[in-house]
Amino acid sequence: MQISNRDDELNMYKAKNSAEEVKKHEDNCKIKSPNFLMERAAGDFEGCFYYMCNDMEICIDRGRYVQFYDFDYIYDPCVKNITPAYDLFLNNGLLDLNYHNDISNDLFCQRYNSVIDSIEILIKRVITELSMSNFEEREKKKRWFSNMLVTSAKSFEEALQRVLFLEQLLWQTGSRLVGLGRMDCYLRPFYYEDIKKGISKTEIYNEIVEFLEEAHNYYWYKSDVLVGDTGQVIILGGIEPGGEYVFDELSELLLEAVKNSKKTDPKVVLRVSHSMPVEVMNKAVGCMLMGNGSPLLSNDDVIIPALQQFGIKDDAYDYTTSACWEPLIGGKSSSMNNQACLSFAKALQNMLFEEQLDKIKDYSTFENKYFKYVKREIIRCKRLISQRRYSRNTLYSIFIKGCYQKKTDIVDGGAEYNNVGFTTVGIGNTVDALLNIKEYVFEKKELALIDVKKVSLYNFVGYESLYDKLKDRGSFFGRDDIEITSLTNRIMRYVTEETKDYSTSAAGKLKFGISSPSYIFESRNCLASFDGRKKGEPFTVHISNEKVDSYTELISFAGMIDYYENRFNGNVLDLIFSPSFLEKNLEKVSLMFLYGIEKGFFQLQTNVISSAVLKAAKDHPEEYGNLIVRVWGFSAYYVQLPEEFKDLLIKRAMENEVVV
Amino acid sequence: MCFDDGPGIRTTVFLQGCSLCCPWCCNPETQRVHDESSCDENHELYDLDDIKRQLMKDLVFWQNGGGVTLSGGEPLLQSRDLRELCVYLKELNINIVVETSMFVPTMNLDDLIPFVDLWYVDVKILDTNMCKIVLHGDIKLFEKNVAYLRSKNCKIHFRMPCSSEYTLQEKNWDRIVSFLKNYSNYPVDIFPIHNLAKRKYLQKGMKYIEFETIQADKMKQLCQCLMNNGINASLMNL
Repeated sequence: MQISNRDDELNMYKAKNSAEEVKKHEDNCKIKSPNFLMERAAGDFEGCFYYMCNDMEICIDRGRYVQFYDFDYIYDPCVKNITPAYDLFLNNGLLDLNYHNDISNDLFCQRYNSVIDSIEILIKRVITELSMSNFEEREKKKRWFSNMLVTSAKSFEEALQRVLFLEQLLWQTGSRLVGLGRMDCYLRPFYYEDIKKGISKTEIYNEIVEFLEEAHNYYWYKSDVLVGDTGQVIILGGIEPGGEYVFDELSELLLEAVKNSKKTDPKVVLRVSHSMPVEVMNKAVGCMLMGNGSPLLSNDDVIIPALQQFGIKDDAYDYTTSACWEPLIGGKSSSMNNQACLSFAKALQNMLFEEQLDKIKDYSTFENKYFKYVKREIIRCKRLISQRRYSRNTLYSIFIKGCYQKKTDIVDGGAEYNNVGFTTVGIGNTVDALLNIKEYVFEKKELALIDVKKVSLYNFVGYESLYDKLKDRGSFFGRDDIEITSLTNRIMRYVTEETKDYSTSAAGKLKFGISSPSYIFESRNCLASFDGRKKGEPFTVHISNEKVDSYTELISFAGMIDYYENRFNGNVLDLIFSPSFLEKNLEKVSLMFLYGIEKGFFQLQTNVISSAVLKAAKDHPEEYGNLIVRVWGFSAYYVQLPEEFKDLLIKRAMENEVVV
Repeated sequence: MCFDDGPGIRTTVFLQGCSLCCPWCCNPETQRVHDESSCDENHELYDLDDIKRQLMKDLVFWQNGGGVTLSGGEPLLQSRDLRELCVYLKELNINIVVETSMFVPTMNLDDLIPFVDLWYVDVKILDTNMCKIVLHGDIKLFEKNVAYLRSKNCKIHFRMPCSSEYTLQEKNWDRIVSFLKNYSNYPVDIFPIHNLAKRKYLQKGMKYIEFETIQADKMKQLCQCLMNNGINASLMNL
């Protein structure tokens, strides 16, 4: 899917660019270095990297930053969905990161230094290219790249260049979903230093704007499963260990720049807390109103204690997220947080078809037996996780803290944190199905379990009036009722029981959440479920319920879920707003979110969409090329989405509009 | 949850039963005092303890002036029971708003006057005959009750649904202007009647009248006309 999406996007590139540019690009698409292929076949990361750094094409344009990609070099998929330690590269010269002692007996250190040597070669090539150019600011840029080798960045602009350069190396070597981390934190010293030097906020804002444009460049190349899913997430704000909420001038400039960018990425995750000023929340909601899907709100008041309970102490205050939302410690984590997907709905389906249903006489027995089938799915996930193997990645090992000290590659547990995450899907549908079974089979005794099985098998054929009833009543999931939240928590705690003692080969622990990118992918082969979902229809999207006529109820529901122990790998309340509603009620929505933080939601994201516009865009995509929507945890251009994703958004928008 | 039924974020309690039957009613399921069809799977009957329990789930959202709005139907038809709820809410210092048409016995107002922070009063059909025929209401009772609220120094905010077919008929409009001039210290929100409740009528098998959509320009003119008469009028954007 990834390659075909890239082919589609390359065709789009051809449609938008001149014949001369297309020919140049096509010439570049011929593999140039046979040595690269040999080293790649041998699994030699360092060898491949060396050839690439010596050989890759450097085309420097007149933009503020130096950025270039050579699509010739195709690496195998490798570690992804993590965030490098940008501060290492901003506050040190590259050569400072070397091992300076005798490494003749240490293969890891030799590989490590060889990759740094290769980067040095590349940097020197860039300097040479700049020297040969006639750009006005070439001397400044040459200084930037010279500094890169031996000292820290000397300005905010120079720091942004280093971020782009490091990021580019990671994209170039096959990594995907490369996060941008806590930009307002690691750039803060450079920002205030520039302000002291008399550089205006406007100038710094312009530097950020151009940085975002460069980062967005070639987003189709950087995309993972769907176009737009690049993982370039900027984390802003957050509480400090002393309890103070920090969102300063730089945070504001970054948020403002993303708000005005009208692009799908980079996107923002805003860390929030009950102690945050309402003005900051107003700005966040103002950004949401632009419809570009940013920011996702991440509740420090819930997440930091959850991380600490899991065993991450002071570093918990420094958390970032994976590409979508899964908390991890950026710069120190090898946590790939999406290593398997557990389908609660599939577990229920399996039970209906394998269990002796006529022997189950009460709901309690039914639920307990259901958990046996959840356990089977958990075992499958564990097996998948334990079998995953990644080729070593010395580049990431340089920029993830811990690997240097341990002299261990990131894939072998070199990072400071090596936990692994999996996602779950279908909990909403399953909670509804279980409660419906409880009511119709065990309380009202209107149906038998065999009927539940038949509903699944025959896709509601013969049960049409039941289907209408289940659809009309709407979903339980998302209603702040104690029975519903208790069942949700029971299911989640069961998964914890079965996963808390698991240890990866790198001594990492397992974590999970109830948000997932797979609400369509995993549902395709799932039969009808007893919540009114027909065969193949998408599962509930994260924590959502468009038929609940009260946002506060959904927020309350989200606040009643227990996210502790290992249940913190992303739990997103997904709300739909019509643009007119949000515009009219911006301040009250902002307050509602603030109070929702007190209620204890984990994370919250919005889709600000109108069904009329979505339908028009589906029918006339050529007129809506810039329409942006939120899809699982990223923003995408609506017209570039597969049809089933478009249709699901239309359905959800319509349901929301009926209720509101 | 509601953003339009008063200050801040509010939780609206819709009470069953109404003394009128306005043709444009958005909540037709609340009109009849005893309506079992309202008790479908999406609606439940609540006793007072149930209501308190449900309301308290939203307590955190009522900060900064938010609170509870009593609506319906006509909440004042159940004023005696609501008094107990209001006592409970006031002990917690919760802001209380009542939305009422005022077509109720005056003594019902006394049950709630000590507790209500804001009264949203509908101003719709004030022509005596039209009021009797269309709404089945006694306009004298309405006028008496509004005057009573004023005499008790209650905070009143008028709301006027605008419909070409009814409320904006010339005779009625003149009566409304004349009435509101007498209450020029109190704000008035005017809004166009919409057809969003059509689905509910059709689902309940009730007759539904499609209302003409009043354009924004016309609404601005109406608002200006009221202001020219010294009335503190604003357009309400639903």
